[in-house]
Amino acid sequence: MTWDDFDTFIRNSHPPAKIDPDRTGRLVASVMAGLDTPPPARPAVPSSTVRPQPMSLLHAIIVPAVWRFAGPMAAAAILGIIVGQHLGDLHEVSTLGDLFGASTLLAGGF
Amino acid sequence: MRQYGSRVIAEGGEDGARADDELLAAAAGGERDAFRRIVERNGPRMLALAQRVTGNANDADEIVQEAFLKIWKAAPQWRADGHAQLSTWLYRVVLNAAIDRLRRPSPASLDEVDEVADCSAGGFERVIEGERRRFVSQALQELPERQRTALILCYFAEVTGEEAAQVLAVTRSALDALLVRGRRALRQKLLERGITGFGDIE
Repeated sequence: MTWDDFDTFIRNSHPPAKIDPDRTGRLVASVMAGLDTPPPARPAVPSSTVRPQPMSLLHAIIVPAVWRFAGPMAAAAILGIIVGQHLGDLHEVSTLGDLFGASTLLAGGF
Repeated sequence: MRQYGSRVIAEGGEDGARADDELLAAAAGGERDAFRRIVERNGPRMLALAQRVTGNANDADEIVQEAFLKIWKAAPQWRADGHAQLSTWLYRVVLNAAIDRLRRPSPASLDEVDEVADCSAGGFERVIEGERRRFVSQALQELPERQRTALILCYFAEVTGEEAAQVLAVTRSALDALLVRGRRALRQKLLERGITGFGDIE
């Protein structure tokens, strides 16, 4: 047996396939249909591989934090003003009461 | 000649490779008709190669379909530089996928399946052909990758030596050296399996 015979043996072990036009047509149709399929979502990049930039840090951390705490902080400020005013009124009333009391005592000869 | 958008592209012959590259450039711009023509031009050759390697029509259809979809997605990045042709790229993708498919374990080995007597005419010959295919496929799997690819290209893809050298990105003389070493190694692997009909090759 020559190398040519060996080559023939190998080629014949995997005989050539005949591809008919219908099969080619089906391939074309399935490929063209596959073009409309959206690609799979790309995996997110791990945060440890990203170096934060100053502006991105501002937008990523500070701005959301300000927006998150703005409501409670404003409510606390308003509450503080109201309570403070009320305490001021109480203090004035208390002082007048003391004056009246003192006046009454003085008027009574004490 | 055929018109695709503003391009007029040759249909085949010696301009086939250039036409593929021009079609791919058109496809990269979103021209689906150009990509359809690429599949029509190259599909039959790729199907034949994949089926010859895997021995399974369904596997071949799947492999070739996936290969073309990869090319569609990568088309915008494609740069034809005169050396890397579309057909070269296709051969690489399809061949690698087909070899990978061969490595997958089959759902059930022949030893686990009950024998079914094939009493039809030519049944014995089909069994022999199946065994021959299995032996050669297994022997090819055991070869170094580049030798295996060179042999498959030359035995089963029926490409010219120049085309095979381009697919492997080697010179023609390097391809010849790969083929010489690959054939000797393949013969040795088959001899180890008891196939001695060609043991007198010199």
